[in-house]
Amino acid sequence: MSAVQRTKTEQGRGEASGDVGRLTWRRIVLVGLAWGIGLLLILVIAFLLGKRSFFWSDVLFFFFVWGGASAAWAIQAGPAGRLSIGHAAYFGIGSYSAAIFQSTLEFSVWLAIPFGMMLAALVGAALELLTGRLHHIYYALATFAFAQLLWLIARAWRGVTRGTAGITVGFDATAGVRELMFTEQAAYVVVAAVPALISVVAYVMVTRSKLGYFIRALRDAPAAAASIGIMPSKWRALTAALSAALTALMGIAFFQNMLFVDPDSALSFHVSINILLPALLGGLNLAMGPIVGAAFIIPLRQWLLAGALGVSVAMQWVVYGILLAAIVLFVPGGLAELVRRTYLRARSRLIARDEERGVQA
Amino acid sequence: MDALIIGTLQGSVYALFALGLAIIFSVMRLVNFAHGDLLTMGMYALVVAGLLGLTPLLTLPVVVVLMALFGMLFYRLLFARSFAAEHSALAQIFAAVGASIAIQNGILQLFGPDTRTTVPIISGGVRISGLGVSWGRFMPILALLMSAGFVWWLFRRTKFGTRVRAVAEDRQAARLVGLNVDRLYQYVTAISFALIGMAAVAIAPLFIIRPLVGFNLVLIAFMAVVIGGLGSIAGGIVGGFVLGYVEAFSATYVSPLWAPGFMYLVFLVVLLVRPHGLLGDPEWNIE
Repeated sequence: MSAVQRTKTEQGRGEASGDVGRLTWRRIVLVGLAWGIGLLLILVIAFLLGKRSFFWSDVLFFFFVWGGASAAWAIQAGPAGRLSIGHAAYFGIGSYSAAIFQSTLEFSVWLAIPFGMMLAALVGAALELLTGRLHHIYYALATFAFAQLLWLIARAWRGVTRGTAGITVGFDATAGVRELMFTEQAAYVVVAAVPALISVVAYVMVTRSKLGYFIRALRDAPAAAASIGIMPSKWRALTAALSAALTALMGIAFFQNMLFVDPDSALSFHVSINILLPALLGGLNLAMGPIVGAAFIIPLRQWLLAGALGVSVAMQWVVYGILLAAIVLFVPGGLAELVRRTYLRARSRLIARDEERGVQA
Repeated sequence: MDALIIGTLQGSVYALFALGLAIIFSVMRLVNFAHGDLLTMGMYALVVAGLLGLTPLLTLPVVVVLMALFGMLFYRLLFARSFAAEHSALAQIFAAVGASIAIQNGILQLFGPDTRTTVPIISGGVRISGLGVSWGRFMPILALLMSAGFVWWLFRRTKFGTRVRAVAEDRQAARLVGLNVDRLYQYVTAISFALIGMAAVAIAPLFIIRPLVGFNLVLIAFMAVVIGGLGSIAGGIVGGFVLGYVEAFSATYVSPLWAPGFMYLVFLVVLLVRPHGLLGDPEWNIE
């Protein structure tokens, strides 16, 4: 490579990373510190709120579980543009790994974490390689059918999964961090918060990395991206593996609180809906989207299901269903996008006002 | 031989159920996740008619008309808006999922979790090569012939059908030549819903009716439509029969427990090897 060419390549790289802010050590330390303090605060508040009532510990636990799983889902759905509606498959792989490791195999849950994540990553990558040709609704239906297939296997393969009876793991009050079992309900909020934060951080890191540029290029201009040597199957499979592994981690965290798993609670379509709903409501293409969406829908749902309206359980779900349809239809692009647009509009109005004053002065 | 007969009978049920979905799918390129719950609604309408002492044959036109009207409303409230949403495919899916949750639980509220049954249109049966088959099992075939004949006539022999096919082929071009796409979509939704009503009346006696009866069947309709070929209405019928035979043969020769597994497997294989389905148009573009 000649000197001229090298300079050009370096310049090209500088430009590519320039628009998201260059990563200097100072910046990394500062941003890391700010996030670290913020997260610690959130965790402390979450723990204290969770200690006060079961309602709040439930709200926070589900907020982190579904918000985190949604962020993991959004890694694939947002930048890669692969809209899976079968992420229950990976959530279920996580939950069942945790259950089988702790019941039948009598291993620690800490061993189930790497196993479940690796298995989900392999399955996710394999499914992505197989379905690489499919797009849009075909892809959505393929992922849906795949999750249903796993649901069916969990029901039928009684020797391993105990079928519809499900698997229960005995609670050990003395276990603590060693087995991730706590008498304090609020501790599970932290158990769910840690993987949720990992998912959000992973989302941000993916969008700022080479992988993020590649998969967005493949999403927006597949032919052009492939022509400059970006392998669609390779990068998409990598994204799918990451998304699947993080979803499985969330499934394990969920299982540790329930200590029970059956095909319906871990692998049904309902789980897939729970996973993608926060991101769908909050916005797929913003890192905060899933969190904003979960912060909105989870308290609302828990409040409804706690009997806020004074109607029967069935009627609560009717209200929830109608709300779901209404939100999806009336808030295009998600809530986070709505907030962002309002902010941008307000800012441009302020700038316009300042400029006007400048002219007058 | 038994598997062949059972497969044909079961296939006709699936084909009948998939027909309404295939129409919406092919014309509007939209997946109606509430499809199964609409079937449940039709079945419960028959339960109500039974309680009122009406015969199923008298109920049929009422259910069909009510479902068609509900379809007009459903389109206006949900589908019409979903086309404007940013991720319109996801908006369509989840608007319908929301409706599905609301319908399931509305039925649960009204009728409770108990299972119900309806009386067959005719009683008695016939023996085919040693296998006893009740006349009620033939109702889906009859209803399928009628529905498919009606759809063929409507789409291939009327001016309305020509317009609908034009819209299905190219929405933008159809709009440019002055077709009211929105109105046509509304009618197509109404026809789809009416066909679900017809299917519900024909197959209700064969099922134990619960609030989730339709939802548990909906994936079969999706699979039938994809196997048969998106964009092809006849494909939905072919896909239904393929699934019926796969189910009957795997249940007879392997195990009834694993029969649905074989159905998923056939579906995934067709999707991977031939994404446009058996009768579908390879050029057909979902966007």
